[in-house]
Amino acid sequence: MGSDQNPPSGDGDGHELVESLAAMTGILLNEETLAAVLQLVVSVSCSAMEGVDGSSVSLLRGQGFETNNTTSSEVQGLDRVQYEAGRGPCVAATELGRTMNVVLEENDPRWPEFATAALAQGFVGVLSTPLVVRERNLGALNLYSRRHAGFSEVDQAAAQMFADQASVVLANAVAFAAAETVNAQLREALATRDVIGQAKGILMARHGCTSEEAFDRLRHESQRSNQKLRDVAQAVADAR
Amino acid sequence: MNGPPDGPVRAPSFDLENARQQSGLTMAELWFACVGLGGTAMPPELYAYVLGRSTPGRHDYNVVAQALNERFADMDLDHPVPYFNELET
Repeated sequence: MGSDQNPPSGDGDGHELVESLAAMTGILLNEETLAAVLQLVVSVSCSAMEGVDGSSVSLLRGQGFETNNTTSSEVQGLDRVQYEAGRGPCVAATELGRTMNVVLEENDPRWPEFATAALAQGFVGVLSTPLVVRERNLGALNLYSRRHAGFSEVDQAAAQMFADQASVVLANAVAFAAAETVNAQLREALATRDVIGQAKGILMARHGCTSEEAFDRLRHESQRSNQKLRDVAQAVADAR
Repeated sequence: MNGPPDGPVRAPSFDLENARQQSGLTMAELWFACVGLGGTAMPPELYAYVLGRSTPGRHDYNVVAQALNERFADMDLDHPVPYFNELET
């Protein structure tokens, strides 16, 4: 279709958001900032796209999904119905990495629990667009409608733009978290190394041994006392 | 890298890679653990030892064994990775 570059229909906020999110490419976001940006995505996708009455972002966390960014508690509840049942448009979009444009029907065999719950709240259509980061599907942008039983190609293209930009932001947050983890591991390793270095120095001076022999002394004591070598080294350093 | 204090060593026969997998440590986590214990192997060297593609010196081997054994201790397993002198006997 020729609508891939079209801005979302509506008052233009969506286009501005896409530009704002594009400007954030390369910025590493922490968890708090990520939540704020994703909240902006759900709010503007809901207000800027015609026929959208609710929006949310589903994210994979550990073994399950979470919805922390949504425009309403009813949409959050409908996401939860899908997570608990293990099936639904947002679950399918994430697992398959494919947009799910769903016309809700009673007793839909694919996800009966969700269809029943959504129809009871007056929703007739759902569009779930996967959020993909480095070929990993990390969640979905979900648009709920009480007016559109199925979304148009223009709507799908607009949703894809929001999802693409949200994925960039998500990728930055994932990179930030990974860098934080590495920093923390390195800080801990260097602190441990420092204590062990002190202890080895003490043992070398005390016993006239080499650095490796001092390490062996610490290692033997670690094994004998069933303590971590760092704790043995700390005791040696403290007893000096 | 620190070599053995008393000449060349033979390749340890213990399967460090199998132990690493059993421990649940990633290669990166194992490297951080070894750095914390004073190990001086850079990641490619460590990976080569663990995968059996090169021969660590006695001290380097013992650092890796200690890092793995500390992880196993957290899993209530008592030093399943032999130290270098235990390999030689």
